Amino acid sequence: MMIFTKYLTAILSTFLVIFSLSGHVDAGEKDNSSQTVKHYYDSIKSENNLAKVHGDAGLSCIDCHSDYTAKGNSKSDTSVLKLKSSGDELCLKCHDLKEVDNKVVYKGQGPSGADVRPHSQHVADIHCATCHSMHRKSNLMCAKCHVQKWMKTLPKRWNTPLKTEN
Amino acid sequence: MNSKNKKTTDMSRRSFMKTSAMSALGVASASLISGVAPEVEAKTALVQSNGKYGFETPPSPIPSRMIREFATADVIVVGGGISGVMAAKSAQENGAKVIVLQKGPVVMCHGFSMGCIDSKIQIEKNIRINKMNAITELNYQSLNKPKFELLKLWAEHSGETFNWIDDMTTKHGVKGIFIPNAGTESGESGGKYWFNSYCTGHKWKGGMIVAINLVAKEAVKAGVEFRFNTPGKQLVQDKSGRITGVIAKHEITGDYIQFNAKKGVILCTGDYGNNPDMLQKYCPAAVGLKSYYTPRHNTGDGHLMGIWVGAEMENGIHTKMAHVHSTPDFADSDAPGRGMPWLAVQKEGKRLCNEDIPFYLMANQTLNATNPDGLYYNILDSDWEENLKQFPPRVAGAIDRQSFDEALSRGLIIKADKIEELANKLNLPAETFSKTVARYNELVEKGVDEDFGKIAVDLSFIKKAPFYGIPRLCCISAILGGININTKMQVLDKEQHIIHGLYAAGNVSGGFFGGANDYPFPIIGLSVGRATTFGRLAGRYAAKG
Ligand code: HEC
Ligand code: HEC
Ligand code: HEC
Ligand code: HEC
Repeated sequence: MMIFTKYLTAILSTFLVIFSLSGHVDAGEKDNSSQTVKHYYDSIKSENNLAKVHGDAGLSCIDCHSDYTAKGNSKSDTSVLKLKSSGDELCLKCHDLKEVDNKVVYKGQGPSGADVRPHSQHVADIHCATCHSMHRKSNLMCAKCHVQKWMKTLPKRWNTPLKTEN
Repeated sequence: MNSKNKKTTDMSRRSFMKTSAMSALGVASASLISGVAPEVEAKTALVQSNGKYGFETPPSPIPSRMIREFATADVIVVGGGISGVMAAKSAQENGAKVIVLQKGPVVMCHGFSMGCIDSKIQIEKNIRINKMNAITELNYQSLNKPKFELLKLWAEHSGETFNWIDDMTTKHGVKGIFIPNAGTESGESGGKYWFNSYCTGHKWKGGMIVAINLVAKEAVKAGVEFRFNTPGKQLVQDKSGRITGVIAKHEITGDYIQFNAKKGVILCTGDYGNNPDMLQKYCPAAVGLKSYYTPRHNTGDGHLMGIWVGAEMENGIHTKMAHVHSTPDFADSDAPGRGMPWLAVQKEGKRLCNEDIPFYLMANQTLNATNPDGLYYNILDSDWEENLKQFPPRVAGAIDRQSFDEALSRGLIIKADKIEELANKLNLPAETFSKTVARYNELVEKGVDEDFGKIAVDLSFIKKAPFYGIPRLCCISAILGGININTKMQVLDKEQHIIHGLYAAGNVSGGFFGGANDYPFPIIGLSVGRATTFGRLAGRYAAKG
């Protein structure tokens, strides 16, 4: 319920920025120095990025970044891109961890046939950004100690899980 | 054991040695340049001049000006594995404010079965193992080296410890299970060579990792603080010799943090199977075997912190736990049927030993000069399912058609139509190998194992194509030797005096296995059983200060 109302406000705010967004995309294409920024715009349409799911759900830059309507989108103008909240707090504005944890369950896919729950498997020091990345490919930190079958079934927005602890 | 002059083929070990040598150089040159930086990190390379290992010399104390943060609790637990999580929860229940320092980002451990006597499940099933008989057998198989009072302590408290853990995991819907088919109540389980065991094993689905995670969740709920990526580096000792805290170094920020303990520091840092220098010194019988477990966090940190403040290390050679797998990665599942008595050959194509030798002793025959890497090969033919009906039951890895085919498709079992072809595929010298198989068939025919004395019922022909080879790799699970403790889990110095404020539990603590070369199996799940039981006791004693 809670999360639903959060979406509503998020989606409403999307309408308010639609025009300014298209303006920025144009500006971005003209400005050679903003290749990097262009990448962020593109990410909202790219299967390789978590941003796309959010774009598809009708969200846009302003739902996560504040001061969006500031003057430009040049690389140096970070005010444009300031995140509305930092760390886990941003994600938790719209997502409920308990709900996520109950939903993301790889049934019977642990090495011994038990369920795997990436969000609560080990008592651990993990933040959303430890694994999820909005505008780049996401990296499953769990893989560094052990690659398990379910890790190879993640959506395209994830990097191939690699064991790095040798 | 000529481990000193033998070629090391373990890649991970080799690269480890390289980096440790380099980092030692790095430290040396850095301090030359600055002239002031104290060497607060342990040295890892062998110091040639005095014949001592670098780790034996305590590093300079970390000066307080280098410390970025101070924190205080009643009890500081160093290590968030089996014994650490138990110690933390138990100290909290006994009224202490607790902080756990864990290396890496997660609570983690290894192991599947917890050995105990008189759990509520055993009592329900009316399985009453005679405690004294069980630990007397263990003591005998451990060559009378253990401290018997520690064995008794485990026997007395292991059942209640299981119940305590199980109450917590059951709350989360995960119930402990008794393992009925490994061992018996009397300790006689039918095999002279393939070993007898008491049925002490208990498990949680998913292994000990699942159980300790749930206990850790309960601990967090009850106010225990976990600090991740924060391995302990040095103990803090006051003038009287009492341990008053521990300094940790954050793995990401590099900051030193001092944790002061009002009542005690409990070392629960696990074993040192991934510290090559310590292995070389305290457990040379394990050198050459790969370590089964990653991440390689088990570098003996607690042992070292302990000996640097005067703790006495249990007499070497320490007990190794070397089991049979297929690859050195615990995340790969193993080929089935380890411990089944099919012909076993070593790398030169010759027979390895009496194949009825229990799997936990197989590694010892793979460590001779020409074959120093833990590898051997089971050889079977297409009648293998028939063989299984012939072999008497034993404690061994399960095997059936489905698991066999799966391992075959993953390349963990190799198939060939001819013996020579099998030799080639396994990279064994074909001529010697063919002779070995022919000789083995001759012994089966005779019904007498003239070469190694295996009982006749465990001999089976290798005649009917296709033939199969199963490479087996003996790997180190853990080294079970540590700093000496008393029955209150207090760490002892060389004069057997208590080092006040310092406790140890689990694999960092000594005296329990006594250094009997190999981890024995009369008590299923004993290592985990000790870690849980002693972790819980250590938490209780430390909380009471
Ligand atoms: C659902 C939330 C969300 C949406 C929608 C979103 N971003 Fe982001 N953005 C983030 C997060 C979180 C980061 C931090 C880095 C990461 O996770 O990749 C970030 C980082 C950035 C950065 C880098 C800033 C820095 O300081 O690292 C830029 C630039 C950026 N976003 C641009 C955009 C643009 C342009 C859009 C719209 C097309 C957009 N973002 C939409 C969440 C979002
Ligand atoms: C402004 C609200 C909002 C914020 C902030 C936000 N999300 Fe989302 N997120 C959504 C919506 C809406 C969806 C799409 C609807 C759905 O599937 O739940 C979504 C979908 C997702 C999905 C994919 C679900 C699927 O169906 O595949 C993931 C993963 C995700 N978000 C992670 C994050 C992370 C990590 C953060 C923080 C960096 C974050 N979100 C921040 C609203 C948000
Ligand atoms: C240990 C890695 C990891 C961490 C840390 C992590 N996640 Fe996830 N998350 C995953 C994986 C794996 C999935 C499933 C694949 C996917 O949907 O992309 C997932 C899926 C999700 C989803 C989609 C759920 C759905 O409806 O399908 C959301 C939302 C989400 N995570 C939010 C979060 C938030 C919020 C945080 C921080 C509080 C977080 N995650 C931290 C690994 C992680
Ligand atoms: C620092 C190393 C490390 C990291 C990071 C790590 N794990 Fe583990 N994990 C372990 C160890 C060690 C075990 C126990 C293996 C054993 O039983 O020997 C384990 C066991 C597991 C198991 C097996 C439990 C069962 O039911 O059989 C699962 C599932 C698992 N981890 C999932 C995860 C997930 C999901 C993440 C990411 C949030 C993760 N791990 C991160 C070290 C790690």
